[in-house]
Amino acid sequence: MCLGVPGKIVEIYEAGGLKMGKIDFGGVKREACLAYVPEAQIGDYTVIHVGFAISQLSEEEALETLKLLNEIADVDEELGITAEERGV
Amino acid sequence: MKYVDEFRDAELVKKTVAEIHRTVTQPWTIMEICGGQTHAIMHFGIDQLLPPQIELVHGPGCPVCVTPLEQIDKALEIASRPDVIFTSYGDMLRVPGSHKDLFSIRAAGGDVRVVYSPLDAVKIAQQNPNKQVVFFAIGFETTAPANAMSVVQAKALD
Repeated sequence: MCLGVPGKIVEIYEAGGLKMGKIDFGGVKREACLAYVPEAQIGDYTVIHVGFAISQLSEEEALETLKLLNEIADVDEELGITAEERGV
Repeated sequence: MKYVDEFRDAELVKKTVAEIHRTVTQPWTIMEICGGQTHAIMHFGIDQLLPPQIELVHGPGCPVCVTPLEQIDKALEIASRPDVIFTSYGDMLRVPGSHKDLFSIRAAGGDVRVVYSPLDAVKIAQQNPNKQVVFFAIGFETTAPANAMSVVQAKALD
């Protein structure tokens, strides 16, 4: 839970009065709360931390950050993505 | 366990230490990010193997490893209660209290669940109205908004 992981917003909807969305992490999608990035739109990149989008960033920054994160940590474990979901 | 033997290979360690001594030609100050790293360095005496030009600075520690033992013990007590569903991040499960950890409580029949977001705990609470659902909200500033939103959401759904 120490990491914030960048992903791409692919869907936005409302649930329980909250702005929610589906975030694509390199092919695997996870739900996240988008309440703290009210101006975010589909296609934008955002940093997801404990299920919440906490900031927005450019695609370039997102891919660079993801590359660095993958060097030092198990990003899939942070997001609860299993090997099966990755298809490996 | 995989890698344990490899890490305890004295020849390999000597070679690596020699390589570090050869490479270090100027003073280096290195900060450990995580308390787990600090613990491993001290436990295995790695600091004594390094050249004097390397200075290790103990970093801030992650939220998991700087959580006080007393709080973990209290959490373990709560997690042991039969009327409680105890939720926290996966990292927290292996963190030892004075006598046990969350894994051992789960093994003994406690309802301990891993969540990826505090909002997951709210969902679990909705699905289990007869239980007290506790979320162990460890974290620094970055998790505070998520915790706060979950409290607001729980109140709105009440």
